[in-house]
Amino acid sequence: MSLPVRRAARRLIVSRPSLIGRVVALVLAAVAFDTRMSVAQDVDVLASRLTMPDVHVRAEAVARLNALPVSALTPAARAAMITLLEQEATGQAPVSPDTAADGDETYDEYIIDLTSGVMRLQDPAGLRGLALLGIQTREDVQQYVASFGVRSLPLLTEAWRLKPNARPSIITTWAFSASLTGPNALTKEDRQAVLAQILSASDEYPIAVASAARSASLVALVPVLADMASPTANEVIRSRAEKAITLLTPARAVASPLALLDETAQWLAGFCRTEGSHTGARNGTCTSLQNRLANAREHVVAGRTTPAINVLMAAEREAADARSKGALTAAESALIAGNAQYIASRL
Amino acid sequence: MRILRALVLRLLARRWIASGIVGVVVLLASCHDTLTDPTTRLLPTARAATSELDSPSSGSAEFNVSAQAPLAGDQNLVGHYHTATIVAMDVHQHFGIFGAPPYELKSGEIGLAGRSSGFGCSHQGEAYLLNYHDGGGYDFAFTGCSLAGPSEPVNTFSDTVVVNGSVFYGYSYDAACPFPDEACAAYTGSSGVSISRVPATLGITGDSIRSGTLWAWPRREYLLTAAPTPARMGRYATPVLPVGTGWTFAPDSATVESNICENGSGRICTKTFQKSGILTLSAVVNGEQMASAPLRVQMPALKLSLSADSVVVGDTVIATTTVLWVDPTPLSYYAVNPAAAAAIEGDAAGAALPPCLGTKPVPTRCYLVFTQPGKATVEVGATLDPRGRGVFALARRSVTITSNDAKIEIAIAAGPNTAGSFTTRAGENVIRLEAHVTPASLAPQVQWSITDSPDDEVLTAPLAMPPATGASSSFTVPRANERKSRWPANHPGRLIQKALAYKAAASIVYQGKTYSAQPVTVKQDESDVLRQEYIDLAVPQGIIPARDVLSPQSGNGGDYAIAVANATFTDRLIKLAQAWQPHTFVVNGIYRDPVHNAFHVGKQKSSGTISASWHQYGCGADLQTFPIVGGSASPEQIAAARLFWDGLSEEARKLGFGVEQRDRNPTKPTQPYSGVGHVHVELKCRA
Repeated sequence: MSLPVRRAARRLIVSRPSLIGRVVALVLAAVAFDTRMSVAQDVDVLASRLTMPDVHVRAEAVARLNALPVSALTPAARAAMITLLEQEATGQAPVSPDTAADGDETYDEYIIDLTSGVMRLQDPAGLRGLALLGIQTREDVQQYVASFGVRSLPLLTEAWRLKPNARPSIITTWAFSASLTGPNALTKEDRQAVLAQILSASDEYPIAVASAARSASLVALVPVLADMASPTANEVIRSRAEKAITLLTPARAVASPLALLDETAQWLAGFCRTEGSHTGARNGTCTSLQNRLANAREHVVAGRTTPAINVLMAAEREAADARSKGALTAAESALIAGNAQYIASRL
Repeated sequence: MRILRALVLRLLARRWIASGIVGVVVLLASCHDTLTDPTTRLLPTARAATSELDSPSSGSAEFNVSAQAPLAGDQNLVGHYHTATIVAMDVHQHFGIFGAPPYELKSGEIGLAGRSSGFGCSHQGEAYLLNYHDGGGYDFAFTGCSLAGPSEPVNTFSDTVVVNGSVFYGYSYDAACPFPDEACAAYTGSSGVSISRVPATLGITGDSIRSGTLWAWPRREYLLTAAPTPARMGRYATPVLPVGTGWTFAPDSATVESNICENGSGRICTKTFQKSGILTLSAVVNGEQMASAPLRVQMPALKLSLSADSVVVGDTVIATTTVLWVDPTPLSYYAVNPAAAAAIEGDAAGAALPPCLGTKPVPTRCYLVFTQPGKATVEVGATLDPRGRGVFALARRSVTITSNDAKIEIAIAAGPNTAGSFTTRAGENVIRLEAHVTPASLAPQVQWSITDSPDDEVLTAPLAMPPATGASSSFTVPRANERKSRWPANHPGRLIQKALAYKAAASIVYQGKTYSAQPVTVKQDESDVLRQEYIDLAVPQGIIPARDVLSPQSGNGGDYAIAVANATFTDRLIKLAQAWQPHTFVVNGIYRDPVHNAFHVGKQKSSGTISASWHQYGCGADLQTFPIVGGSASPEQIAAARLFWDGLSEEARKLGFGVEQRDRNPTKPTQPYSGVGHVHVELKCRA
């Protein structure tokens, strides 16, 4: 008896007797696996194992497929990998007959491996699985998903809605999207929306926002990060925020006041487009702040420094007041006030 | 000389008047004055050059005249002889003389002596053989006048004469008619000569030569003489002239010596010999260069031969002694050193020979029986000159005596890896076997037996076929050993529960008895036991770590004191620690060997963790989060641990690590999310 069949036999002993169908499927797969076939046939056999209920079987099949060159993978194998990642991301994958002990990292390492397998295909068909799950494992997956621009935004929105645990990685991926250039770059409106989502997550996912700020060099977030780094904050949050500030400070210093002003205006436009921003005090605050930033911009462009500073100082005060009145969140207020003050100091 | 020539002419003129024969010119009259008796001359003995020394084997000259008036005379070259050479000579001459009007028509003749009268030989019309020496001067090997007498003219003559240098044959003119009446007579006839070198051979003679051998005592001078055959040729001793290497001695065991004579190199040589050998002489013998027949020079000696010089204890060896001397005297003794190596016992296997030891008179053919292993020397001695010259001869031969017991030991039983280790992988799975056998002739008969080592707890798979017979052999570790099921479930386990090991045994059969070597165990070392796990468990990455990436480790790294260390991963982990400052993390574990990974991690519940884990290549790490949360952790503690997890995983991803997902793990349904306890990071370390 060759090795794969023996392995299958061991599984037979440890599997639950009630899962006869699964056991039969396992044995059949094992026998098939033992058969000498061409490389393509072997690949397809491995691909067929991706549907096995035992996560160990799936994990080993993924690892063996990953050990092959991409060119050796059949279309069926490629499709099976993509499908499996999407199933794992959406909870549609077969339920393993066995639960794992604390020290068993099979599933975690399997997901990293499966993500790598789909990533190396560079197939847009794998985008959903990567967006919903793969981005949690590697930064290059986040950049890959973000590189699709507006095409990936609904998937990230879906992930945000369905998978709260994925949100930190979604935030970083949004940041990569916001910094995207070239043909897939987001439109102004889409980018503003993304910035608004990042900012809105700063309370609940401060570490992720700090990481996103570093990833996409979002210098406008420095005042928000400074708030995160308050002495009363959790030490991990504080250290990550301080690290982000340290890393962003040089880029912020070399950026022109006008560029900083425009970027601040983008953030403002973003969170002023969110739900509830078009009525009440928030609407008034948004309108007023947008006017002030536009006014300041005109002064800066015209070289009228003092009027520009005066307008920016007024915006800073208004943003701070808006926070106390509940018209802006703490993060929104900090972003506008902090940047207005910083830009004024640069004039 | 001119006066002599005028006197001769007057005498010849009177003889011509008497005979009525016309003569014309005097030739060579003065040359005759130097002629000497050939029998009294000494042949040259000085050394000559070795090139072109051979004389021609034959030569001739022939003349014919018809109605010649007067007889003009003539001579031709017969040949050139570098050394004095004795030749057989045949000469002939006959000229008829016919008178012509107005003189009386008489007729006459002259032979080899030419014109003769009562005054003796006139030298007119005389035949001659003349030597012009290479060093100058001349002489006559033959003169016709030597045949002059009262009888009828001598027309033919044969003799043995000595020629040397450029040799000419000719006849002189005859001026018998009164001058200037040259036409008083006419001559018709012929004259000629043929010579041929007398053949000879060369030998060496001496007083002490018996039956072609010079039996030479040491320290005694011997007189040796070149001995040509024939010794004389006619009236002359056969000429012998040593040339080239001259007297040459070739010892039996030394370089050849040339011109060895202590008195120079002549026909007679004096020499004191120190060794036996062959003496020859290179010489020109009667005009022909040749080497003498070899002469054996034999010093007093004994020659001992044994029927075998490599024997086994108890073997009988026949000794044969040859006395190399003219008068064989009885041998004095045989001896064996060490004395205990041989004994007077046994028999010469039906040859009815006496024992060498203790037999009187001492025999020249006898037997010895060797009784102890080791090296022995057999010696035979003889006093060959009982008259008091103190000449004593002996001969020795060495004998190697080996034990009559055979021996076999295993010199090598080892795999190709360090310390003879191995795996079942191609290129690492051939076990080399080498046995040392005594006697060596048994080497091809060595039988090998390879069995599972009884000194461990592993059931190592048997070989399908035993190794090939012979002192040098090998076998391939069967792939049947690649069994995942054989690995122990206990952690960490002991090497004797894991290492493949074989017991190699070797044996020979000698004289009906079986001799076995001390068995040798060939087994895997710790490195190859660890590497065998990758083979047996068919780790999906298909990579078997090289031995040189294994390094000592201590900690939570699996089942061994060694681990796969990956420098790339370790360096990246250091960068993560730097990026994570001011916080720190604790590495719970990096390396896991495949068996530990498969059987020991979470074995209480799981069927084994992922078979493709990068922990197996030192490229995965579990980083402890803080605060450590247990079953009784508060929500605040869990939240803090979660923040730690989020921050560290973000940093890890930025450095290119693969990080476990944050999503909940469906195989751990009781946990709301994947990681809180530790962050798993990994790299794919294919490079």
